[in-house]
Amino acid sequence: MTTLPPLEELQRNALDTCFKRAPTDADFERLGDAKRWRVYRSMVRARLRRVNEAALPRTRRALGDAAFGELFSAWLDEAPPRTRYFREVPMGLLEHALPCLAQDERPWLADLARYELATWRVKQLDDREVPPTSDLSFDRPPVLTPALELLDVGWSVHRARKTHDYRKGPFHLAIYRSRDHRAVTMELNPLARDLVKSWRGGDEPLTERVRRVAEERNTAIDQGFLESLGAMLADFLERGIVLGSRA
Amino acid sequence: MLSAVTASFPNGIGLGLRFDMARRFLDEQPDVAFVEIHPENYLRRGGLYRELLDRTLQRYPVLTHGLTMCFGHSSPFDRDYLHDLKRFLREVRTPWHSDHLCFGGAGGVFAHDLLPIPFTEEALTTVVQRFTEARDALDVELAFENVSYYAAQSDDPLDEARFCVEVLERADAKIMLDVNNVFVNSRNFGFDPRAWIDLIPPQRVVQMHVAGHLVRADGLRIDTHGEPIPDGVYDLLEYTLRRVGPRPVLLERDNNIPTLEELLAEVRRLEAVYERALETTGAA
Repeated sequence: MTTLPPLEELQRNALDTCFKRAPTDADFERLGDAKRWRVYRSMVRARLRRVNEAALPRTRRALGDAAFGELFSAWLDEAPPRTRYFREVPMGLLEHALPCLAQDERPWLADLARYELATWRVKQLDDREVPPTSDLSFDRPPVLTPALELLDVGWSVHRARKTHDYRKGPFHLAIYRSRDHRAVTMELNPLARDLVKSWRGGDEPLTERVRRVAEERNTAIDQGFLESLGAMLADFLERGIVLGSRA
Repeated sequence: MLSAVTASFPNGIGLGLRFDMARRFLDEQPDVAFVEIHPENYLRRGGLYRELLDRTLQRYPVLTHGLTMCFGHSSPFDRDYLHDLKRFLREVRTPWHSDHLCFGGAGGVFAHDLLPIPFTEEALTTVVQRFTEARDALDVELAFENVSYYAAQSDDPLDEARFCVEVLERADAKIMLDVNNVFVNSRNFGFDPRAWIDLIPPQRVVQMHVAGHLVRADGLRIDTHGEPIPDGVYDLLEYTLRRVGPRPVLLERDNNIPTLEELLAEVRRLEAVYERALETTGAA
């Protein structure tokens, strides 16, 4: 057997051979059984690639295998996964890849990746930690499902599926998890987006939040506004986006 | 000796709950002794996985098997993870929890695979310390799983079994004995898997795993959990059961998951092996 370095160094070296873009023969030989450590490199990378492709299928297709592979390799080399939760691995890839995607000649590409990852995340968000709720009341703080993401995109990446003829936005999206665990996307107008944003967290009663958003948007709280608000709240309650008011 | 709580868990053949088969499995609720789950798939997660877990808990006894604690890590524990895990183990009422005798990362980076540790005194000290610390923090019976490994870690492949025995004794630990991993390692490194099993004190074994594996074109066997169990693993399981006695045995299938009927056919074949092995020991 080769004389091995101390355990901590050995483990760091092993991870380097898995993640570095081009480890040398010497890097593998330091670990002892160089040929078999190459097997580990191949297994680790294949597994991580699979979960990233599962989370970002449209982005991968748009990029093509080679370009996606380049982003993947750069990510592993420069910022390998720091989460123990396998399902969160694609978040790390996207965080690293976004600046690169944002510079792509296709201006919608970064939005597409952000949208795909938001839907991936919404399906998994933990929604058990909600305060006790009662029927919706304007006098108390609203409670929203934690399985909700608000996302602003510049292109209609949430609409087209097979072609890339996206319409220029902006689009304000609410992506939430339905009762049958699907990620559902709704388009909101800017006022609705601001309202939903204002309803997350905090201790203010619903009335105050609505009043503040209306003021910020120079919108009169008239009969039409109140009817639209009522319809929106009823719809959001039906969908499980609004759960009620804090009890 | 096994503790009263450990000994009271149902013996027999259980199945790993995997997303690809979970809905149909829970709709049909076939007869299996228990279900095993990976806590990392449920911690800090809602949605469908949580619903599947809740349905499982209503019908089956549950054992937990971790993926990322890895007792051979040289890095300190993530206390948040241990805190969440402890809460989860209590919620699912598992009598013990197991994780792997390997490392899966270092310095906060995760490989999301099971990487081998050398069978050295330094590694042994690390494992014993980490195992003890985890058991204290989780306040539950803890077991380690022997892993498949592909890069030689010593000149004598039976050193792995000796290493396991040292951990068992120094940490007063339990082992979740993966019979397929012993078989895979025996073929990859050329040793008698029964000699490996013979070195393990039977009273330290709380549970067993069996699975299928891939044989590559170059002959290297990889523990994919993606193939049917081969005859050699059935034979080794029977030998191990005769030696160890009745324990919960889990069928692991993580990839190329077949129909539920095919999975249950494997469970039934395992049950036949289980009964035959224990009849000869008078423990059935």
